[in-house]
Amino acid sequence: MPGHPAAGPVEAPDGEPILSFREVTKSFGSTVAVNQVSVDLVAGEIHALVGENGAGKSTLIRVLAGDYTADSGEIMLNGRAVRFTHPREAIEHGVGCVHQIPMFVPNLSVTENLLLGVPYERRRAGLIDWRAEHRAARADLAEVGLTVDPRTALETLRAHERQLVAVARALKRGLIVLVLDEVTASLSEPEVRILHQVVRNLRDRGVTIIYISHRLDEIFRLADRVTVMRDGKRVATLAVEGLSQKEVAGHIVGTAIDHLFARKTTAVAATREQPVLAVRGLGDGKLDDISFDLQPGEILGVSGLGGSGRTRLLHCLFGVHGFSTGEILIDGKRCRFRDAADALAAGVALVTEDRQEDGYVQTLPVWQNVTLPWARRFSRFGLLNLAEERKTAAESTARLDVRMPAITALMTQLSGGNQQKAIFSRWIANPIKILLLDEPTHGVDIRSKAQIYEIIRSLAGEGVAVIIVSSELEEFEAMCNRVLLLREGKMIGEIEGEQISKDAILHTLLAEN
Amino acid sequence: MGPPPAHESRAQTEDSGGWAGSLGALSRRYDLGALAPIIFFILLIVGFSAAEPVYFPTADNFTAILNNGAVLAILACGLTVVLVVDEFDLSVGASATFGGSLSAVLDAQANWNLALVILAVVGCGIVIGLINGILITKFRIPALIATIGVSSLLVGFSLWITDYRVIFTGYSEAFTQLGRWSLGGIQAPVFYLLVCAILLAIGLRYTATGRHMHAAGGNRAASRMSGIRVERMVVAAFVISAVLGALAGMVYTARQASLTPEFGVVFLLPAFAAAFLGSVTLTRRTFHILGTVLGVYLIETGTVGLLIFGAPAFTQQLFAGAVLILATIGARYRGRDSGA
Repeated sequence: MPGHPAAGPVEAPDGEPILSFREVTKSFGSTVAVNQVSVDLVAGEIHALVGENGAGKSTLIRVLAGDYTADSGEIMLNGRAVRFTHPREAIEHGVGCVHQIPMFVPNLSVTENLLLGVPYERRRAGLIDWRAEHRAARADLAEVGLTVDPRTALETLRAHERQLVAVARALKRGLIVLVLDEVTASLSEPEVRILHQVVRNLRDRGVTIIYISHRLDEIFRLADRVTVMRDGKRVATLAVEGLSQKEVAGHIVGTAIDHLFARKTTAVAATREQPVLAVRGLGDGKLDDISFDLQPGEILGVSGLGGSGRTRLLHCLFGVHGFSTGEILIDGKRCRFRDAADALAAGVALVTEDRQEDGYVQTLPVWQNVTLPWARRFSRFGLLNLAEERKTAAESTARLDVRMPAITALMTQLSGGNQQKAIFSRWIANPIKILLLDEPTHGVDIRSKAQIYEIIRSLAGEGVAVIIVSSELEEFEAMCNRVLLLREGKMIGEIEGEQISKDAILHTLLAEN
Repeated sequence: MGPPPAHESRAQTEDSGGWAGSLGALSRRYDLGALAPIIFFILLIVGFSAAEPVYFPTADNFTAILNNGAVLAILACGLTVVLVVDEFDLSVGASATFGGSLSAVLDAQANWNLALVILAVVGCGIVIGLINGILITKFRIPALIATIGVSSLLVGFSLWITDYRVIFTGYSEAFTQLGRWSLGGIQAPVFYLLVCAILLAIGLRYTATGRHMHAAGGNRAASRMSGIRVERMVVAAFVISAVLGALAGMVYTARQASLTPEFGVVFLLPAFAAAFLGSVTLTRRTFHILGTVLGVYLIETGTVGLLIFGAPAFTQQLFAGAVLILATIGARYRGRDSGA
């Protein structure tokens, strides 16, 4: 990948394997989640594990970590067959796991979190010697390049710092194999870089790393080898060097994927006398003098590092965050929304970044989540026409190929990609003018990702103006007509048309910074 | 990862999670858990009938249970709406106290016209609900604290306006008839309950407001981002609860033709017990009106049965308390793994 340090030399797999899965099988009822999977990992490699949601990656890892017990097959660690029945045993044998959201007690100090579940050994007169514990913690943190004060509460740390604390915690216990499961899912680009550097350092010290990620570009930046899983089976284990993203994507979905990330945009009638959205000098103390126009059918990207105010900009436009200066014009009319209800009434919709947090209602079935923002439309004489409502939701979700057990299923029963498609289907049967997207493919598998790109393009094709905020810079390249670059609340540049590329964006964002 | 979150019985495709063995399979197939309260109800009736074949299984006795449970059920239906938006109303018993006291004072002492009495009670209910709702949404006081505070205020006001006295004389005929008219042995409160329950059940399921209340109870942030005015839903729920509480108190007073200030507090615990029991009846964990009404009558049946059985009075307290705790455990076990 241009612009990034090369992923170290590929360790020939002929070295003595440190960890081997041998025909591991695990079923749940009639579903075979992991089917006769064999793979060898050598010491000191970064081994990426990829596959769609439900491909069996997590199950395989959970068998390794002792969360599940395999039905058959075995796992060899350092030449000995191991069979962990409890996560604690895995940790004691040098297998550490760090997940997307590490398990911590947020209001306890970093030191206390590092020591969760292990006895406090530094004592003085029978009491915990906190000074010694903090000193030891500081040394542990230095191992992963962290210089935070171990006495501070964990919740005050930034996302990538917490991930690093989790790594340090695993390291403390004599690490042989470290599993990193979607650890960068909620990190910004510079944070990802810091984390990657720590991972490379660990590899160089001989730790074997299993790296799970939905973001293919990460694998190319970091991993030495990659194992692809599909439908519970291992379909390929390949050296990353010389491999293309398209090849890997093809293995993941089982068919060749053409142009998944290829640039495909539609020309926008820029000559229209009035933009659908005009932002003039918008500011709220953090955002500063943001101005831009948006034409119907245009896809505008907003790029910036963490803390650039990207999400805040969307929230201002959606009426859920106030602003102090400037104005927002929709179809030339000045708008000042009090809340999301006002924004929706004016034809402005938002797909939020964190689905679980504020994207859908866990206790309502899929169809009611699809109609959530506009259930009122099915009201006749005060009563909802539930049959009609359900039918509309079924049609919308079918059009977006949402895979689910039934339209009456709970959202939580759907995979991340299907949840996101269900959320998008809200705007199929309901006309909107402006669609605001905050990380639209966050935690979504590769097939759904391609589908979501298509959905966004087709909505734009119907004349909806779209604003995308994303940390995945390829998305801008694939879809956007124009990209605004933000840094610390200010617009620092704009890239248009064919000029849009990951490198161009990064170049501007990181320049003189 | 815990068990999947709870939901209405419509989502039958749901996997019920870690249930073991064949009982688990059976339960997944037929959702025995959701029927457990009803099975318990039937066993209760069968048990009491077998134990007291002369006194328990009689038409008179069942009619009496129906009549006696109605006031509690009206109040519990209002409470259910607050539980749907995922809040608590510990002042609902005190709303009944205040509604009863106010109606007694206005009718028996001030000789107001019945229609005006009813209007005054409803008006006070609206004000109580607004105060609860605004304390919780605007001032962000936890519902537990806000409604305990309001509850104490209401009991205080009730003692103030009644001057600490039991009011047992001076009621107008029209007022007592409000709680006493009957049709085929079934008394007025049962008909009021029927109207309230049907309206609320339809409102919660078949109106946009009801849907929005369910959504607000399920995920505040997501509802807000979907354009639902969550605060309004919460305030509305508290208003419904307080109005029904106050009306229940008035009907109770009319039926007794006697008022002991503070009487309403005894409604609080059984109302919660009934609603929680109802939330795991027929559904996985959703508060709903039919469930609440069934819950009330289960508790009422148990109480009456124990009385006929000659159990000492404290057994009723034990019964209601046990039902509340078991129902809550049931709700948690079958229900969502976080929040609540």
